Formats: sequence, C-alpha cells, structure tokens
Amino acid sequence: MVKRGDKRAATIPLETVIFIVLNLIVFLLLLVFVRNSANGALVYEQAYSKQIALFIDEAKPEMSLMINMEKALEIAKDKNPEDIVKIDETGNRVIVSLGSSGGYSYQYFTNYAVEKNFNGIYLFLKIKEKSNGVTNAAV
Amino acid sequence: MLLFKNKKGGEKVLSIWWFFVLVFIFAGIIGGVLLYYSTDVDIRDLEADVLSEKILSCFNYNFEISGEANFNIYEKCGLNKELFSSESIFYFSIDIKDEAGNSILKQGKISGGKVSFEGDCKAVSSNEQIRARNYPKCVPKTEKIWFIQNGIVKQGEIEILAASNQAGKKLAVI
Repeated sequence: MVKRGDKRAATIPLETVIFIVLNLIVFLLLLVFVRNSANGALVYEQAYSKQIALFIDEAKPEMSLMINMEKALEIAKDKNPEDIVKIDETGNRVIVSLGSSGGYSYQYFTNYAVEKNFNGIYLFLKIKEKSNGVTNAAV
Repeated sequence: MLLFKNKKGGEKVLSIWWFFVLVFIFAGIIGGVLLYYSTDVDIRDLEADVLSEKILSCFNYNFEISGEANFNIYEKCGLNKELFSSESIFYFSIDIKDEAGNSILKQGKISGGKVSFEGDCKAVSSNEQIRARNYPKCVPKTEKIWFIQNGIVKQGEIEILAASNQAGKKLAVI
C-alpha cells in the first residue's frame, strides 16, 4: 500500500513564494545589467558622443563629416539607426544611446546647425551656419 | 530558550537575512562591473586644444585693431555665446601683442567663460606636483599671427589660454 504524503507539505507558503520571486527579480536585474555592460554599450556610448562632439567643434561651415558607426550599430542592432545619435541644437549636445533606454550626452561649443543622416554603417554630418539670424552680442 | 521557541518565525527572519546577503553580493558585482566598464574617457585637454585652434584661426588675418570694440568673437569664431557664461565649463582668454611685445588690445584681454579657470590653470601649471582631477584642463598657446592696423597687415603674437572642464552626462532617460 502506497503511503500518502502529508497534505500540508504539498502547499508552498506565501512567504516562500515571495522570497523566490524577489530573488528571481534581483537575479534577472543583475543579468540584464551585466549583459548590457559586457557588450560595451556604456563605454561606446561615451566614446562615440565625445568623438562626435569633438568633430563638430573642429569642423567649419559647409564641411561634411563621415563617421564609421559599425560597432555602435552592432551593439544596438535592435534599434533604428536614426535613434542612436541625436543632435540637440538647443542644448548644443550630442546624445548617443546604444541601450534600450538612456544614453550619454556631451556638449559641443560651436554655434553651427548640424544635419545628420545614416547611410549603411556611416553617419554623415553636414555642418552649416545657423540660418535663423542668431547673432551674438559683441564682447 | 524564548528567542528560538518559535522555529517558524526564526526561519522567516533567516530568509529575509539571506535575501539581504544576496542583495549585498549583487550590489558588489554591479559596483565592480560599473567600475571596470565606466572608465572615463577624458578628452578635456583635446577640447581645450580645439578651442584654442579655433580662436587662433579666426583671429589670423581677420582681427582689425581699429574695430576691436566691434569684433564679435562668438560670431567670427562660430562659438555659442550661451556656453561661455560665467558659470560655464569652458574658458578662453586672448592677448595680442605687437612685434615689440606690447599688448595692442585697448580694452585689455578678450575673455569668455568661467573666469576662475584662469586661476585654476595657473595653480596647476605652476606646480607639477599638484594633481587636481576636477580642475579644468588648460592649453596655453603663443603663436605668430597677422592682424590689421590702419589697413596694413602686420605681424604680431597671440597668447591664448583655453580651458575645458566638461565631464559629460550619463542620461537615464532620453
């Protein structure tokens, strides 16, 4: 005759369930973080934003810049390339985002209009004089 | 003993404690990974160098002494004036001298940005033993330039001090 087990042992207490769920959440968060870090997104976001800001600072009006973004596209393969680099002309900022959220922002000090577009693995930047009649006061 | 009389309660307390231990371990791993991967790429000295080159090239052959008061450095050099306010992260100062070494600027040095950077630059450059990580990176330069005086192009010397203390920002949400 098969001996039946204790009925009480079959039910898992609520606190144990909560404990396991909490552990799983923390463990998942850790995995996501390590995965994001290990693909270099944090480092490349910073490197690309600083590089692009420096290029814009060095450029003169009517210049075209071509930047190889192969590594960035490889890291952010699920993203639309147009969303990887943002040029905020009001704040004079270059924002590069390679992860699912957030990004890295770096300021450039020149007062030019910047047009950007992606073509394959290259980011093209066209530097232009601001045409909205912005004039600065004399020193 | 009264403290361990209720074994079930004791297990609960132990579980929560174990959970906190896990959180501490994970926090340690996250801290380690962050330290390793978020090493700062410092380009402040490059940025200051670019700023000084930009100023140098726009002054050369363009600067007219008689029009000193009307010389709009921000417009001529393509700089954004809003980024060179007194609370800025950038700074520049310019002095132009004639061949005899006398300053030709009637209104004194031309400068923009955070004025205190000039003192910081001097403090760091005067003593090589000073290691100030959060001080601005400075690039002093002295170059020959051509300026215009009474319609005649003359040679002189320009002294530029450019500084940057930009740290960049990690944004949580764009």
